[in-house]
Amino acid sequence: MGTSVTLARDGRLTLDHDTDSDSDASFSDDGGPAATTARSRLAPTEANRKRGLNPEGDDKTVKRQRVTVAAAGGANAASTSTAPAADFHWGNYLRSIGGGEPPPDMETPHAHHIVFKNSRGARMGAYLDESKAILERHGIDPVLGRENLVWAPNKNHKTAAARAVRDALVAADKTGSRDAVAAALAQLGKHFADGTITTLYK
Amino acid sequence: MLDFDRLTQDIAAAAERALQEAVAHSGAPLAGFALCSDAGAMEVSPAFNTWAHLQQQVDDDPQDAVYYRWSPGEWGLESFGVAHFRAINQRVRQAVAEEVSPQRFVEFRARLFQACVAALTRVRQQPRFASALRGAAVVFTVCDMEDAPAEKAWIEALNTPQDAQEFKRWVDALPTRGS
Repeated sequence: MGTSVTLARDGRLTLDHDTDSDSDASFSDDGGPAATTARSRLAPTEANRKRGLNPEGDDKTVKRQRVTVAAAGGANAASTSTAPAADFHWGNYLRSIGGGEPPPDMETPHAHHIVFKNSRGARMGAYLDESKAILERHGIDPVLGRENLVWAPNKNHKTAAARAVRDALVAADKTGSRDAVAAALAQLGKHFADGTITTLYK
Repeated sequence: MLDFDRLTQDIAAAAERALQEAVAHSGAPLAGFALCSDAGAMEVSPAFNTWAHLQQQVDDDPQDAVYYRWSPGEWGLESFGVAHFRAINQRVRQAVAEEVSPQRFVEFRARLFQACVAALTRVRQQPRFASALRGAAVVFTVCDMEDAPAEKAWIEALNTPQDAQEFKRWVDALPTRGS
């Protein structure tokens, strides 16, 4: 018996047990550090996705992918993942992994990836590749990892910010310590949240 | 339930006020005018670009000039005039939290995005902003969501055919990146 993690398109993460023999789920629900390796039901069919009216999709046609997801609140949860659907609801996901609600006084909050998920700019893409490699080396999922997600205003997604993040992570990585990398992410997250990330590159 | 016709009017009015402030701050014409939202449909915010800022970026990274032109995240005046959107964002967040069931969320989000594009269209079409927006990239973007077909449709609705073609050629030529 294993645990199936469902990442619905609206970002809600649900856990349920199943007895399917090919499930490789393992889950610690004691609130401490944990990593859940599970089969995740991700996007509904492309047709449903484009219609945009059935976020849960049709279970009979839902794709199954292996995903490792940080279990709720597991600050040290390590995970690697296949990306969720392109229009995944990151806010609900952040809530579901212990991110709480955005501060009420935060202007234009969104679930912000400290190392941005992706870029269409070549230079930014190179910075992101470096940063993601550091996170992955320390067992931090750049896409789904709790350490890389924070509530922040919807701005400062610049190449210069990606470079500042890369520089901080490179410095932290030199210690060889996962804790140092996680601490650097936490500090960068605060900078994004209060807007002071600009002080690192302006 | 949120009145999307009223919401469109209010977004357009807020965008007009923000645009007026951006022009007063930076002068006309502008290089970019955008509304931005997020996949969680939590907010709408404006962004503007100046030709000086764009020129600086292109000088620094000439091989990616089109990226800097069409990416509000790189622009010089992010969230400029966002105060005009506070009441709108409060209503949107309240609606998402209290009125929109999980089953209806995707539909709600699509209607919010449609309202933003419709509002931008209204502002863009006003003769009094013609000189301020001459040559500008007018963009609706969702910061944490990539849907190239939708983006191309939005850009086509908001820009000249020539500019929309530039955006389309660029997006179509992008390498597929992992996230």
